[in-house]
Amino acid sequence: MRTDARTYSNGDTTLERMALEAGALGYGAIVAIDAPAGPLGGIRVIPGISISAPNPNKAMASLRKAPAGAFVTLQLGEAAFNRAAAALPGVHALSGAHLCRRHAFDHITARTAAERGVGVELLLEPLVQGRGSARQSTLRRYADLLVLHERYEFPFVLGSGAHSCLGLRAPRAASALCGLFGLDHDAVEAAFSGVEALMAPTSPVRVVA
Amino acid sequence: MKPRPPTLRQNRRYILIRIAPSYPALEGKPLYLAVAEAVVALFGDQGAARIDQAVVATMPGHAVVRCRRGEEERLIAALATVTTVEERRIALHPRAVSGTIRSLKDRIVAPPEPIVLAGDDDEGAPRRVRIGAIRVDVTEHDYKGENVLHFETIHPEDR
Repeated sequence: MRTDARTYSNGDTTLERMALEAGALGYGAIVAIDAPAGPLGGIRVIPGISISAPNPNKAMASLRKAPAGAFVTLQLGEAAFNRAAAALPGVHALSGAHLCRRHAFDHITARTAAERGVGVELLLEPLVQGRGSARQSTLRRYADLLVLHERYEFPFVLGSGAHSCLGLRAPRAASALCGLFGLDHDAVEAAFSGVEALMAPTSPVRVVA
Repeated sequence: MKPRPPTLRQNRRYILIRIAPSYPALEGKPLYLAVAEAVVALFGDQGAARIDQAVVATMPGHAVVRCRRGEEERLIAALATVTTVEERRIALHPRAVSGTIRSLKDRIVAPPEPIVLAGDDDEGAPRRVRIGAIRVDVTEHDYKGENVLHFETIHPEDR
């Protein structure tokens, strides 16, 4: 099931209309930031929480308040913060990699994310809306993430970042956009199913008797 | 002028795209200019020359775009970055790729006819248009210009 990992219901489109349009494009679920859960428009709506914090302590405090069943993303920042963020319990994915400074998402963050089963969110919105140097910077950051992804194999999740139903992109268009920084079709499909995998992590084998 | 033999002609691919919202219908030229601008912004002049894009047909809710064979993915990526045509917000969704226009036209599903529910007669009132069974778009005009809000059916009388 393909899931759009980030949509917003506070733009010009109601949540139900967003779900309808996402379903028409071939998605089985969307993560809607600050929206209630439930089936809508024939697809599943997963409530999303996006946390932005100046330091790991404040991030931890916000994480404690996150409701159960929500897909929680934590905004990346400086290198030291990112290393701590990848290890915080309750975080499903790290977001905003395109806004980070160069090398702020380093190999230690990548390894920690892989070990803890924390995903890294790739937003399509800066590739779609950005022009010139802003889009070039995003492509560079995503290509750099891809190098670390191939080495440490942390999961990716893909989100449109749409505030409007016109901001949603079809899976094929998303795949073509991801091809710009080298993510192949299979990896894109894996990223689309990343939200489900991250919200239901496989636990180690436990002896019960 | 004698036509070039088929084996020496450039191979092309045609992409069927769905235009959202499907109304009012887009003209070919503004769409061509928007696609060309997106291709040049993403791949530069050299990339645009290699892709060799063109809009070959437009119809309500759909358009057929052409490119050189092997450049489909790049053109689809560029189409995904088209967000406005003539200051109107749109999205272009790829539906199918083929070597012939005919096979694409067979796959076109005509969009539902928009029904104006309110706004055409009342001066200054928001225009409310129902598309299909449950989609309702409301167009407001303010000092910033046109603003379209997207709803599902919002009132029993809209059904």
